[in-house]
Amino acid sequence: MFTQEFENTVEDLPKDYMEVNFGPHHPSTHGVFRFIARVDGERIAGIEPVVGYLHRGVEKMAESRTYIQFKPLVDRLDYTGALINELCYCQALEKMAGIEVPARAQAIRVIAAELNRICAHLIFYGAMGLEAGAFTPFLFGFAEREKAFQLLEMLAGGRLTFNYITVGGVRKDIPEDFMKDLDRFISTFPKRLKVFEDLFTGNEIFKSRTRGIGVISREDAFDWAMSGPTLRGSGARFDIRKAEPYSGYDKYDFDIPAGENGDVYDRYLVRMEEMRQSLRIVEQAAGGLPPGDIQVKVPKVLKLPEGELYYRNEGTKGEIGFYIISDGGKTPYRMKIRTPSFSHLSALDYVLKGAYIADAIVILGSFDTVMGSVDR
Amino acid sequence: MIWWQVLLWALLKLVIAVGFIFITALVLIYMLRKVMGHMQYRMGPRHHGPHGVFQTIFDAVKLLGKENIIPRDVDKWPYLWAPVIVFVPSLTIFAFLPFAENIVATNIEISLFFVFAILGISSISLIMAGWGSNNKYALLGGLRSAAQMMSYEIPLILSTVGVVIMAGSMNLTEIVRAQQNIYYIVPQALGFFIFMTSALAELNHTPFDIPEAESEIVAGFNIEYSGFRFASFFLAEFVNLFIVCALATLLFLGGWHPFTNPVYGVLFFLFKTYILIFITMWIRSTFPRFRIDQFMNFGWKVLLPLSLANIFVTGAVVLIVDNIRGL
Amino acid sequence: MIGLLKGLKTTLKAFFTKPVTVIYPYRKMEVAPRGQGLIRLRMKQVGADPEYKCVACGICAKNCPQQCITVKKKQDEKQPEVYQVDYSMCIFCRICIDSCPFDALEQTQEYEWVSETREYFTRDKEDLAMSGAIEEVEEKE
Repeated sequence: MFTQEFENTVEDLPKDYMEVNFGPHHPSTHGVFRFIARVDGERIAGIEPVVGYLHRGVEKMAESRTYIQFKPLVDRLDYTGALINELCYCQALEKMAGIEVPARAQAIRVIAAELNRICAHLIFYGAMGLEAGAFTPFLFGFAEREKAFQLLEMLAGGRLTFNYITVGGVRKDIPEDFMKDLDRFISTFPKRLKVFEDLFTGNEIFKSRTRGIGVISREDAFDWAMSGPTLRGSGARFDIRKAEPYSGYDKYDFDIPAGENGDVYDRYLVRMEEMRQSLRIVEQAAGGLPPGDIQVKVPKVLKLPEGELYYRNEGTKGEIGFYIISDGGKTPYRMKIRTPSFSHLSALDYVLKGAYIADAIVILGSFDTVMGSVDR
Repeated sequence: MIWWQVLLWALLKLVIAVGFIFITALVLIYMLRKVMGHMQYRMGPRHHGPHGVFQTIFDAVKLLGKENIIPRDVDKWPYLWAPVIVFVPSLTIFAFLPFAENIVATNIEISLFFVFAILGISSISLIMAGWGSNNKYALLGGLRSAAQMMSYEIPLILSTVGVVIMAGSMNLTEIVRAQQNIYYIVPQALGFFIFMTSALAELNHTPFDIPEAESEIVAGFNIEYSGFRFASFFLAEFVNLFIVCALATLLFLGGWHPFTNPVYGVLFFLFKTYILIFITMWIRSTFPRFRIDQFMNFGWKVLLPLSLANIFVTGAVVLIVDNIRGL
Repeated sequence: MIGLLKGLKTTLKAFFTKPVTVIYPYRKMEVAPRGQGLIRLRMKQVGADPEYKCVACGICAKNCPQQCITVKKKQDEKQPEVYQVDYSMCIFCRICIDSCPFDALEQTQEYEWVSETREYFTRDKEDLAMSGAIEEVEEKE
């Protein structure tokens, strides 16, 4: 008499999802990003991302400015790694105009770009700590970033936006006391990285928060057009610096780290290892700086021949590319900028299905998006 | 004539207790900011007063002066009474904590049991705050906190049963007196570990600060509170921290042990409590937080069996040792 | 457990290290000589009075991405009558400095300027010369 057959089971009850809005004003979405999550208890059933809060109309502004006038605005796309954006843009212009860059300028460009990559990955380290709930890694990362910023300020004249790399070379040569400070940075940075890793990487709580979370398989990563450390965390050893070398990268000896499982922990480890490899590149570039001049003669008003060109670089978050259509005049006809964060965010709904809310934040942090690049 | 003397004496004890609580809360907040600051290569507050000692007072005064905002569709009774209810258990428990050999406001035979009974009341205030604020984030925070506090009260209380078995009494002063030969942290190391972990969970302290997880559900249950109501939650959290560390000192670290002189006893007791508080703040600066399901797993599947095993082993050993002594 | 203990050891070591804070209004960090800041019009000493090196050709105004420089020439002389920079629009790209053929602009490291009115941010040529700053003495042949 106690075994009674029920007609409906729990699965048949009508389910009502609660909509939680992680608004643009939130401490953990990297920048002004909004997503509306439909949650069922603590599990997410689907999300709808809303972007555009930082849209400045950069691609439209490009059509009314000359190429040289547009260059300072390129810094502001992925503002964590501004020099790499400039490098990509200037190389696109140089390839289209047929300008050769001297070897010394190429080496200085590499030093500046890799120092900037280290800065960007230190932001990732700090933000990852905040998303997991620890406050200390953030301050450690930013204290370390100060030293790299002082170097970059000595060399390029800015801390966040530089306007240093020009068409045909770099703007100014290396100042006198730069090499001494750079050597000091190169020798102390690995020890600091070891301290950071001791604090956070082996932490069991962090590992249990990030292992097995947000797994993206290799095929899925290629399908969703991922690139950069997000792709390498899923096991594909693809780096544009090795696949299509530019600016003298084929002369330097460095490894490409890759993860195995494609979860958040692997992406974190890939970025930590990339910092070490970037330091290796800086050491090699600074060790053998060729003499020469740093800028070739470029006409005052740059006019590109008619045609179109797509040029890509390995940015801090992934592949950044410039697609320029020129009609032979002073201003481009159309400039389309391909940014990695935009493609990564489009995969967010797929990755977050079935995850907990707490995991959603951690996964978003592991994609390492920057809204300047998504919204342009 | 004697009844008004009793009343006056009680009133004096009340004033001392409330004054001590507020001063402790202020000192603890300042200590947290300084300790956490130095662990992060920066200084904490430094402008008001030498090394910033008056910063907390100025912050409290600022919070008092803020506008009294009540959002539109809140559930009035839970929303308004939650900040009051969170403070009342902390004040009440101070009546039972002994600070030195005879310095205790009320000495009853089952003071440990009473302390735990009252400590459980503060969990309902978080649920009231979560429900009363008309906000989904607050609701999520409140529900998380309900689950958390309910699951961690059991290991908290069970881990002290070992101490009670060894001391033979539930009176806190008696327990301290029974630690003459050896502090209970040595035989009850497992109990100490379980007690501190469950206590951190009860207090919503990192690594268990899920109800107020700042990075996900921005400030959780106290998202709609501002001004003095927020200050009330904030102060109550620190007062509870002091209470829990004081309990740990009394139960496991021998209270005021070597000193029977009241002044030295109180000072040494406070010294030991502050060492435990420092360790809590050290943990707070270092560890990230758990996810809600990992954390419930940990509480029910790890801590609860361990505390039951602790009781079993302690009981067996005490029984055997008593029989051997009796023989 | 080991990872947790290592983390605790790191934080404890950091506790006993000297903080890296620079107490800002009382002590400031040094800005490198190439750091971004306001732009200065250079002066030269030819006759009795110092003059601006700028000849008001207008190349800097044409090249500025934000169009924030206004230049007007004096009637017969090669000196600017009006030279205004609107700093609320300037992005400190230094294209004006690079494109000046007469080397008349220079970079300073001033980055602290606050005001309550918007008019403060439109700097005239007298402010831009930063009177009292170093004057370059040069003889024109």
